[in-house]
Amino acid sequence: MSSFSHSGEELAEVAVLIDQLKDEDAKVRVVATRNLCKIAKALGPIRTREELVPFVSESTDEGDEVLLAMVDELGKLPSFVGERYAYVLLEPIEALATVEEASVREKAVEAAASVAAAIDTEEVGRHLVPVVRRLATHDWFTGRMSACGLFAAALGRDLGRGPRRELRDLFGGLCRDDTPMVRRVAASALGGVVKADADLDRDRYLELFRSLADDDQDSVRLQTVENCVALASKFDERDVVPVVLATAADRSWRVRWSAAEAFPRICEACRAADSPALRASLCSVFVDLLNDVEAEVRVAAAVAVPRVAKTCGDDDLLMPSIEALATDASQQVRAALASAVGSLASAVGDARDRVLPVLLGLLRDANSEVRLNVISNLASVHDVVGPDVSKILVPAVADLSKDAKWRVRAAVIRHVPVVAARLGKLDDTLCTSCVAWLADDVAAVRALATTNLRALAKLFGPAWTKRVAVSRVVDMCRHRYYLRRVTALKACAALADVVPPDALRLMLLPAVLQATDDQVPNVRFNAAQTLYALALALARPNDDLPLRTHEDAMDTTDEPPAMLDIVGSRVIPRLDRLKAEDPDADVRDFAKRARDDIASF
Amino acid sequence: MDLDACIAKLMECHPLSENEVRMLCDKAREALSRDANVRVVRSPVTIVGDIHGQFHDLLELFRIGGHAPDTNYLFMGDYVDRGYYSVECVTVVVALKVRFPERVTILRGNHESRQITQVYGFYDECVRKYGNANVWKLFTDLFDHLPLAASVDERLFCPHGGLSPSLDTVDQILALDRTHEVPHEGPICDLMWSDPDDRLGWGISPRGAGYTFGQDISEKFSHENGFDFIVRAHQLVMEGYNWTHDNRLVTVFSAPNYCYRCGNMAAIMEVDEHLGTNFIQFDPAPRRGGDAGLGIEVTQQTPDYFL
Repeated sequence: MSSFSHSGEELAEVAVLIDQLKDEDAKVRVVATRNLCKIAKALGPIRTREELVPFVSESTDEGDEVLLAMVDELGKLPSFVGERYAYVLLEPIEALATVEEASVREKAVEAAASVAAAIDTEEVGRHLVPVVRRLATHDWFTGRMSACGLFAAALGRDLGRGPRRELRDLFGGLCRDDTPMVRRVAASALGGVVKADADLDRDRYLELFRSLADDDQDSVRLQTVENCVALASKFDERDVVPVVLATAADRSWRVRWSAAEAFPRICEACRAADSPALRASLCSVFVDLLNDVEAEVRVAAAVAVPRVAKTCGDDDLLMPSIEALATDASQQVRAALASAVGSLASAVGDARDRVLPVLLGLLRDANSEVRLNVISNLASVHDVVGPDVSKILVPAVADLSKDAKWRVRAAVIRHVPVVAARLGKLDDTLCTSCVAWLADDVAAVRALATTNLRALAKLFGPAWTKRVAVSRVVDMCRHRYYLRRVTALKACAALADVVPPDALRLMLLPAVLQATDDQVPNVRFNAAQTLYALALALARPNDDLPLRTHEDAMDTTDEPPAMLDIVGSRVIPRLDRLKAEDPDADVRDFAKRARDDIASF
Repeated sequence: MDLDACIAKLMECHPLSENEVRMLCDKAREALSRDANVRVVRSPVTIVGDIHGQFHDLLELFRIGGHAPDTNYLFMGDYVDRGYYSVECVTVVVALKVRFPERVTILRGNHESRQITQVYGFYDECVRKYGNANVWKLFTDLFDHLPLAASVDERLFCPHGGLSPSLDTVDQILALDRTHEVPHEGPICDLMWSDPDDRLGWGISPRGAGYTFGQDISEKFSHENGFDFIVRAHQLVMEGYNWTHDNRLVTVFSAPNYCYRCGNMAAIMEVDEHLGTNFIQFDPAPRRGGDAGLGIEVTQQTPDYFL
């Protein structure tokens, strides 16, 4: 009974949707159209084929949103029209493939491809090939553009010689179409067609490839590089490389940029290492790109340097250009090289000695982002510099730590623990910076500095933490500006569980207790929050302390008072007082929360 | 309603639901009713100028100035209009006010008005984001309760725009009835609309509302009311802040690259517990991806109100 009424409800809902397909309001039609699959499911395969699909085909809707929804749903319908009948969808899809709105056409091509995948070879021949033929010879360029995307689907099937030759002729025609937009789409489809066409007519495709690469429109030539990659893996690279060389010397910078950007993939596809002559010619073209007049091209080439150097690099050819890039007039170019220079070291092999001066130059660059990019790739920089890393890195880091841009400072802070771990110690300059960051003008930098201090405390152990971090943080709790005192309290909280117990008891706790009497409420409620962090650390059993050094052992020889007692005798009474007596509502609130949290452990 | 969760959601740039906005505005009205026309703010506090719907830059502002409640804030109005995220901006400052009434002060700017928001974008944005004008109505009704000015420790006077020829003393401002739409003229209008000028005395404002006032007016008002100087917003200044009237008045503007095209820096003014001041300038927050150079998700049409 219940299932019956349920399906009844569903049918009623579908009936409403069908009505809404014809609604006057375009928004309603969009929503209904998005539910075509649901309708089809309710109608069943036969009525979908015989009623719904013809209804959609006859639709005269012109709203782009309706059409977009329709074409989307048509792509999903093959499983709802019944096995073997997916081809009925090609009729409405073909109509949508010729509309003016490009996004609808693109989706229509996708939908047609999904139909093609659902039907067998015989039906491809009978139904899809005529669609391709009509679109490829359509009066409007819109239809011809859509046709370009369908050849791969059709040529991937074993259609027999006749249809195949016809399709190739049609595609060749589109590659020479009068409308540049059609040639552009044909050019971008070429790679897929070549891949799909089982018995290749090599010379023919190469001829199309060459003519498209030689097109007078930039937008068509822009597709050349991707085709190079596709063709290089299928044909003899000797046929492809001359075209690459021509593309890299194209008169349009965008085309040259596309060559620089794809260059590593071209090198890899050409398996260039196999042939010294090929390597040499690719490498010399790449050198031209590194020296291009347009900065954008040089940026793309600089990014590609390590991978190209690895596959087809000739160090003697590449290095002079790389050295020139390090002093390029454009900071973007230098920044791109700075990111790449680390991995370059392992790629060039013998020329490693020549990379070091480049790296040093970039570390001294006038632009902070360039320097930062070098430091950000620290691990690989280490490989270039070797054991002398600290002598070179520390001044650069110290310099960046005072950069005017706060995001640069923030990035440097994030790298300090890594640098410190590599160096094994922090020298005084870096130490000063780490503390100075706690007083930065920018709150986000102060927050990072706090986290950084905790990371360093873990790295360098209790003695360092006590001597350097704790003493300076405690000093800062008495800074004359409230935001600095707030930061100091947050740092106290961050350090609480990494300091030795005596420092916790004798240095941090008194400073934080004193802060609960601060004249500024913000400091008082931060003190309340920090008291909770200290209580947590005090209550923690002593044996999981960080590794103790000899120095610590000396300090803590006298038996410390039971830490938990301190929570009861000094922390809790103070929080109770704040909670009950503080004139500020937020202080009372935070003190209450801290008190409740302590009570719960 | 869980205010902390709402604030966290807003910080992710997700607007609240209409119902949440309704509850928020109810609470906000209650909180604002406790603020006098000129709210006395205790130092230390960070003073913020116009924001104008530039939500990502407001987030950058919090990254720079710190988050409430650790940092105290005085927002001097103009949260809405022009930028694409007026709804998020005004909701977040109101939510902060409700959550931390002692830490946050929000004032009324000339854009916190029914008339202006219908022309400069907030109304359209509400309709676009909520499908109707209810949220716009809720907020503009709330705007009638916003304080007209603030004073920091009774030593710095902070209106959105400037002074008024009808107002000689703070007591006169305290006596005004503020709970209605910003009028076309008169003392409340002047506090929202006036600008300082190099010429002495009162002048006719090119804006068509409020007045221009000279250094003599600033000095007289400050002297008679015991203020050190005046802090106000309302005007674009390329460096984000600008001293004038022989350091008797400073303009603070907190919308960097105003309208996504002016190329100005923004600034906030930190006032410490000894009334020392520190201006922090900042640039626009870096944006994601290269969408039309604006780096933000632009809806289908560019609003025609700033082209």
